[in-house]
Order: sequence, then structure tokens, then C-alpha cells
Amino acid sequence: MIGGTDIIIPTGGGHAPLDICLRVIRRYWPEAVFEDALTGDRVERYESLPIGRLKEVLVYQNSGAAQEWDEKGADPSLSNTMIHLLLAERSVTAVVDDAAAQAMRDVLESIRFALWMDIHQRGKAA
Amino acid sequence: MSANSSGVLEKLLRENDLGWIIDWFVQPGKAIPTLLGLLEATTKESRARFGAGGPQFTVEILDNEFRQNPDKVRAFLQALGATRSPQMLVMIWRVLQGMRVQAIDMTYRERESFHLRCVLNSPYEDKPEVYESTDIVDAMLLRHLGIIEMDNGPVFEGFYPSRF
Repeated sequence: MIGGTDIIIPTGGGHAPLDICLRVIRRYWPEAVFEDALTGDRVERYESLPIGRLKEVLVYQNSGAAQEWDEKGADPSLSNTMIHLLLAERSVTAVVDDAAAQAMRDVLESIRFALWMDIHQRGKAA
Repeated sequence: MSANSSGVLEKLLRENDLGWIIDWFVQPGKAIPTLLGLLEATTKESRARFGAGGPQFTVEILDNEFRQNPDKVRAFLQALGATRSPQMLVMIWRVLQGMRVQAIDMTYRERESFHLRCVLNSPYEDKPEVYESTDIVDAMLLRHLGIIEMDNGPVFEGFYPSRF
């Protein structure tokens, strides 16, 4: 992440908001690769994720991007090919390189909308 | 049905603040056997659709999955307490696994009919699955679907637990 931007979004609590973020991102990045940022465990399919155990997830746009991040680290050429998600008790933080880029704005808007709907539909945890 | 299965299911329900499903049953003693019967019927429905490799719905599998994905199991248990349809439970599990909701059609005529038809599709291949219900109770399941917008278009994505 090169001078990334933190986008903090309130949630209703629990792990469902992280799941929502992951599913929204997968909509935009159908070949997304997911990595547990705390253990380094990486999976190529959403259904393989132990979501209840995750607190921080790196979502790469695809396996090629994941490999390039391994090789180059936070290289400017990899801008907006990875989203770092951090789950807290009442919020999710999405860290991205360039939140103003249209493609990333679309993803972040969909995440915000989905989490807002989640609170309205299912309420907040006690 | 074993005593162990009954105990595990009751523990799962109570740990997920769903003990009321048991306590509010017309005859509370019949709640667990009825729910276990529904799970068994759901496994049969799954096998009829996907063969022996399809998802199975034993309490042991749910209990194991709960350790990995508690919110997903909580959402499924909430649905288990709400629906009477094995077909709907397979549909919910498939959404929890990552299937996309491609289409939903619902028709309702007061005191005449209710029909819910859900089409799921895989994110990896075009292989639609159709699930249907004529039980109005299943309208309740729709509130668990995640709602997003993409390119100003509507998308149902995921199936999530209510927070009581």
C-alpha cells in the first residue's frame, strides 16, 4: 500500500460485515484472491474462507496481482490491485491506494451501501 | 436421530440466541425432533439435486462449520426455525457457500396463492439452480438477503443473520 487511504465504515457488529465486504469486492473482482493478513494463508475461492476467524483480509484483484505484490511489494504499478480490510467491533476499515479512482470509488460505494442496508435490515448487535 | 444430535442442535440454537425456537414450539418437546427431521429432509433434497457429493445437513457438520463461520451457521439456523421447506434450506446454504442470486420472482394473491422462485448461479460457471416455494412463510427469508447496487442496478448478495 503506497500512502493508502483508510475508509472507515460503521457496521452493526459481528463478522457479517466483513463477509459483506468480501462478497461485494468479489462482484467487482470475480477472480479475487483472499489472504488472511495475520497468518498469510491465501485462498482463491470465497467459499474456502473461514470468515469467522478473520480480522484482517487482503483481497487481491486476481492471482497475478497477488504474485506481483509478493515480488514487488508496494510498487506504484500495483496501485488499486489490492484492498486491505480490517474488522473492528463496530466498523470495517478498507485501506486502498487511490480512493478517488472511479473503479475504486464504485467498489467503496457498493460496500458502503451494502453495510448501510445491513444495519437497516438486520439491526445492530446488542 | 441420536440423543447426541439432539443435544448438539439444542446447544447450537441456544448459543445463537435461538432457544426461543424450542421454547415457543407448540409442544416444546417436539421442537428438536421436528428440526432434525427437517435437516434430514434437506440432506435428501440436496442429494437429489447434487448426488452424493452434495451438501449434507447433519448437526455435526453444522457444529463444525459454526467454528469456522459462526455468522453463516447463525443465519442458517434462523432460517431453519422459520421455514418448513427443505428446498429453501438448500437454497440458503448454496447462497452461504457463495452462489449468486440471479433472479427472484414472487407472486401473491390474497387468500389464494403465494409463489416464490429463486434462481441461483455460480460465480465460476453458468449453471443455474432453481428453488421454489408456495409457503408464504418463506417470504420471511428474503429479509436475510444482502442488498447492494452495482452500476445503478439491484443485486442481492449473500444471506445474513438478523441481530436480535
